[in-house]
Amino acid sequence: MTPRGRLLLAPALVAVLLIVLLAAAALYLPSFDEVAHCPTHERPAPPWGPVTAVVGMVAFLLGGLLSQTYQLFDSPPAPSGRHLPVLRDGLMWVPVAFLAVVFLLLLYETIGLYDSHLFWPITWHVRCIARDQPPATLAVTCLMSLLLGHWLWFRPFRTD
Amino acid sequence: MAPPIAANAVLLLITAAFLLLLAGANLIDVWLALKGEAPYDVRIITWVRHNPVFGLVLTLIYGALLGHFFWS
Repeated sequence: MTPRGRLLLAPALVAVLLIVLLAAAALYLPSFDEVAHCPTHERPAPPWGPVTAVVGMVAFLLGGLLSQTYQLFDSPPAPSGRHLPVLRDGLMWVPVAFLAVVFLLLLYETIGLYDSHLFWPITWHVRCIARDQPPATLAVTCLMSLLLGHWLWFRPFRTD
Repeated sequence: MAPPIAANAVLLLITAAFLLLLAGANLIDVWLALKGEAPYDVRIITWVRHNPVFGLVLTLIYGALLGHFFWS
């Protein structure tokens, strides 16, 4: 496979996955009745709740280990220089925007937990979906954890 | 308890915000790959190598959210 093809493989796979997820959400969520499905806001019934949490943590570790394998055995050089452009090119504003959205969602969560008559906290939405669709929740949690583990796993700079 | 406002709309908004941001990042990733430049994961991994404490904090937040949502 050409170097460009190798670079394209991962984003192309993620694009296919995102199309499937968007289609599933567009088909399922508009007709989803939370009141009928979620009379309470408890965590998913055992074993799904703990299993989802534990498998999510394992997937995070796996994502980190996979990225270590990539660093060890794949031919593209690991980014090791302290002068590699990271923020200068402007593309890192997308992750910054992502973190800003996360901040707003946590703000919304705080308001919802303070007064659930005003908003439903995001926790309740997540637990509702997790109770209603445990296998799908497990799958999405695994994918997110793999991705975050791949990104956030710390690799110290080489000293050689 | 019944949702005070259109709960489905909030759920859709949350899902759409995450998926659309991921889709946008993915499109940029494809564009970078076509140009033969370093993809997003390399840039983010490099950034975490420069800022390990921030990466650790994000990891802890994610772990806390996992436990909060699912652990019983």
